[in-house]
Amino acid sequence: MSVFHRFANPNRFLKLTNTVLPWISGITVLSLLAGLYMAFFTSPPDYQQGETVRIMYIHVPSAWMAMFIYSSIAFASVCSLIWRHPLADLAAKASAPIGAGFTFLALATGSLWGKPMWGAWWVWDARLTSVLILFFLYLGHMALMNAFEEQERGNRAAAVLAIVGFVNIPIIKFSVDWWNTLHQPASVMRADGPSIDPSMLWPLLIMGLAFKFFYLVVVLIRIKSELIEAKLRKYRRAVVDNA
Amino acid sequence: MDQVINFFSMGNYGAYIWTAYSLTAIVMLSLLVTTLHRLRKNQAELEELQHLRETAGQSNNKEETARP
Repeated sequence: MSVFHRFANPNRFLKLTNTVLPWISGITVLSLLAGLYMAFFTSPPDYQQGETVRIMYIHVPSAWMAMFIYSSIAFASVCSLIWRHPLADLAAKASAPIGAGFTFLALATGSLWGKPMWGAWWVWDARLTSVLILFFLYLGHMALMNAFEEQERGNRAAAVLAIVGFVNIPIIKFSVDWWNTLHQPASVMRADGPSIDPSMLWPLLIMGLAFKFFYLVVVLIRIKSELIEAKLRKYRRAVVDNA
Repeated sequence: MDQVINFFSMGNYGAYIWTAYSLTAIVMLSLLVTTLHRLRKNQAELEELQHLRETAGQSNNKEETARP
């Protein structure tokens, strides 16, 4: 835990954030440009799905981020409840809207891919339903954080929700194996390695990298913003106390 | 010209593909813009408060540490 505690100091965290932000912003822009170029120009249309396969390059990374960010929130919640890590609540709070955004995108782009390929915008199968539940978990987390007069109580309630809701993550991952579904099974994160052609795998992985770095950039700025807000609250309280 | 039209029609799936990409761009950009806007606003407010404090002549040389 010593590594976490080292960065628990907000001033040290801010210093580190300001150093890495320009670099990770650069990586985000470059990988996004490269990923988009490959997605539209170097990757071929699918032999079955034709051009619609290009939706995959945003749909799959969005779904990865939806699950990754939720897992990060659950991890931060554990750190917050057990070790009272001062930045953990802020990290969870800053992450939730980004995760909700990506979950919405996974659902919406999936719908736009499902209509031409399955003939339906939506089906109530295990994969789609469990991701919809994930979206509601994000909304619940955001609502709980702000539901109490005392921020501390909101943080704890949201942390408990995030940890309990984590059971949904393996359900999403394995839903395509456990139940009959229209959704295709895993083709990248498989025990026997990716089953997808390199000409499609590379743009997918690069877009995945771009989305992950985008999350890092936005979440670090949001945490920075939260730290300033904490300072502002402290100043205002001091002003009230003096008056 | 035909090549461009061909590209945007995406084998007649253009409506689905471009809507999906536009939605993604809108969501990601608005996340970034609202985040940056809030940071600027908070930074401006903090500067103003710190300025007020200095002009009020309060002796506060101690290093402040923000605690959430």
